[in-house]
Amino acid sequence: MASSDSHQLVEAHGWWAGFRNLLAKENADWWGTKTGLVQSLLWFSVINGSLFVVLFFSLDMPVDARLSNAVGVFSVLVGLFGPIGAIIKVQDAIVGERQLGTLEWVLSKPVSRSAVIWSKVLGNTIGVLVTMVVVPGTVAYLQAYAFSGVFVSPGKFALGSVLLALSPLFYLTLTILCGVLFSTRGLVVGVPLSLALGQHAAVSLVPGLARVTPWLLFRQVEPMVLGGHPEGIKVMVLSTLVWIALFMAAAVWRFSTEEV
Amino acid sequence: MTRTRSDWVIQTDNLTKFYGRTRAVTDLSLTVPKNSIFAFLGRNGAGKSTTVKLLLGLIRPSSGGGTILGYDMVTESIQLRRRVGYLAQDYRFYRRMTVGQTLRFVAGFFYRGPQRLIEGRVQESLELVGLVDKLDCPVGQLSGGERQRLGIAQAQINNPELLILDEPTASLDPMGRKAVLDIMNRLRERTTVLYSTHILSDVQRVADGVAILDHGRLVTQADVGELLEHGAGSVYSMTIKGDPNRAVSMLQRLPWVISVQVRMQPSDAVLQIQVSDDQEAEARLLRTVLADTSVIVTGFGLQAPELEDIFIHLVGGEDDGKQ
Repeated sequence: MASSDSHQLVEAHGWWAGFRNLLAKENADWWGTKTGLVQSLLWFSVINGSLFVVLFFSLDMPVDARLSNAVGVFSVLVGLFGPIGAIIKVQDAIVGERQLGTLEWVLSKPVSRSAVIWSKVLGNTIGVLVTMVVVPGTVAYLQAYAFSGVFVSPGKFALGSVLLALSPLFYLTLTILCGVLFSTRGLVVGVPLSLALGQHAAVSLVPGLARVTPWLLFRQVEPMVLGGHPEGIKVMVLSTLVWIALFMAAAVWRFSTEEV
Repeated sequence: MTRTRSDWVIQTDNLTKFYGRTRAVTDLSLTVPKNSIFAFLGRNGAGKSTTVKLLLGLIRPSSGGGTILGYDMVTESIQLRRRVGYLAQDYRFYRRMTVGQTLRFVAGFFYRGPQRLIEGRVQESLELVGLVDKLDCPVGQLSGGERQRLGIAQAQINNPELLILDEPTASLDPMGRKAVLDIMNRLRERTTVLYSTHILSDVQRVADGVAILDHGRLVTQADVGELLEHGAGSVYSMTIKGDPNRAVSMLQRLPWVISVQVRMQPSDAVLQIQVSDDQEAEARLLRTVLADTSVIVTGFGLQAPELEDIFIHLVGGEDDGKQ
């Protein structure tokens, strides 16, 4: 066709085919609509609102205790609510598209199966981390200063936030894997949510689990940021990254055999 | 007409698909010529949609294979999908997107830029299907017919060499069906259209070639004209007054009569008699019925062949989806 002669054609092959366009769509779902703003406000209210209350009632404490409270409570809130938020936000990513029929439509275009999974994971990772870690974390940093009058090292606080982000990321990739494996929303939400809600019980029954999962990683953030002695943090981080890689590999492999 | 290998856009070789123990498609060897509208005909559940999904690599064959535009349908499905357009039977778009956003999203799989040309392509596509004024309309607010036209617009946005439409007119009213068939006719000039359907009148109206599928097997493949000429023998129409059952039993005893269908009317009955031997029919059909003096024949003649008659002849049995 004459009109197509001058178009620059998409040439991507292999696992990369269609990724850019799919990621743009995922980003538009977060940031081209009210989703990003609503999620940011929600997590700002939950995390920073709770933190404000705790800090307000600890004004009579020494400065060190207030600072410790600020970082510790922020870590606990992200550590507890982050996974649940990530699960709820991405539970629809695969199974919703499969049930609506849009998955077949998208897969009929020149896209690779792995590009679909990677775009879902990356797009949602950006969205989840910005709204559940970056925005509340930035505000929490300022709240810590406002209530203690002391600036925490921004580098250490940022590193602590990265550690906190690993737990939502663990559950985000697990939920994507469940979306690929199961066709009912109940299982897609139920499996990771049971794990998120039961992680503390599991660790109390088998303490060794804490070393090879991100479940108690949030407890290590405060000592790391405020100059204490975090324990076993390297193994926890490495184990979490291995879990994330395994979930991703399993999701990509299983989705490559999906028939729509 | 003799065709060479390069004249085919689709060639499958013993394509077979099982779902568990159920055979959905069996040993399908199909060839679709270039620059034609090719209908894929069959009852509901005949295996049409399964075949279409196999062709696009959306599902994997249990055995057999094939090529589309020279690409292997299993190992090169991404490359072939760059040159093919597809509209599924039960398609869905993102409801939050507008018509324009939907077309830009699809165009993004094929074109990187420049944006001006992509917008031009979106406009051309909307003009083709008559949806220019719907550019900013959310997909969720379109009528069924408009959504179907959007479906065709997105399927052809990459100027495909092959356009595959799965039951594109199935859920439409007569006006919607006409609009879609008109668009297919316009697209004929620039692409090959393969479309599956169970609406026989549409096939006779627009298709050049047809393949009939039944229970996952290819029953026949031919040009529509050829099939109408030789497909199932001639059909004669006879209008009679009197007891049609006696006439029917007499006719069914004749070896060259394939089938007799009776349509009762208030004052008479119309017999549709399918025959395998025109000469015998011309010489003996009327005489055989008139031998019974209680029957009066008020009309008799050769009917123009209908695809429906051929379809029933080839597929047989009751038809749960045919219109």
